[in-house]
Amino acid sequence: MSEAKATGSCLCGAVHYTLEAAPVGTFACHCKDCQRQSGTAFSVIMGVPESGVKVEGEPATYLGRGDSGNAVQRKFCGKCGSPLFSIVEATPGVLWIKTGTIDDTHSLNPQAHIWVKSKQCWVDTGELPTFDTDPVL
Amino acid sequence: MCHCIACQQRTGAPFSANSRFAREKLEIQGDSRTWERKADTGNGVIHHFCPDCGTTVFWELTGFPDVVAVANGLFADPTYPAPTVCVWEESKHSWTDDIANQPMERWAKMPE
Repeated sequence: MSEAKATGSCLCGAVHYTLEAAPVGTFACHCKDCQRQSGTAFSVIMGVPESGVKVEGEPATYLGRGDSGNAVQRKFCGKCGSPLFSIVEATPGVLWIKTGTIDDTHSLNPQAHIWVKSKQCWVDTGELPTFDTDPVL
Repeated sequence: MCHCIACQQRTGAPFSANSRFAREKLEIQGDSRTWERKADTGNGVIHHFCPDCGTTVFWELTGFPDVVAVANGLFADPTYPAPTVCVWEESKHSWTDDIANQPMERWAKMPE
């Protein structure tokens, strides 16, 4: 996903977006809130400068505190529930895309696993770097 | 474990991890909002998600009325049992090949 200009949407299509900037990083996040919101073992998030994302449709927002204690705005589609973006207090100016909603994920490649202290026991992180929590905290 | 595109969009993640329970063994508390889609089989999938935070908590499968599917991530328990069946591998992200190495029944699509 090194090329700018990717598109994505929620399951029902009510919210869709275009990425017009290169990502700043892509991580597999194993924090408990990502497990709960995604409903699966971990989320894969790609950070993009907020100014480089054009969103059409109105996502709903759930404001929570992550495992770090920092505020996290979790944006989701109010019609189908798909998680779309997170805005994290610790990384101002960055919109974290929930990458399962990107249309073409062929070149998606996380660079590290974060919050592995709450990782599901059956998940093998392989050769990628791992962090117990989040390296930017 | 399911790699279908709809599960990728629902979870925002590369695959879903789910458990099916007998309907009578499940007690649901709290309100949910529903959204229905058609599976490739033609059967309906009725998603129930939390209206406040968007989390899809469980879903009903019109082709299998006696069971309810629950998203494993909701337990947020690192010791929750590993998936035993993997479906829709044809749309799997290649970098996830080695994520789940345990023996599993594996299917390119959804078995009939």
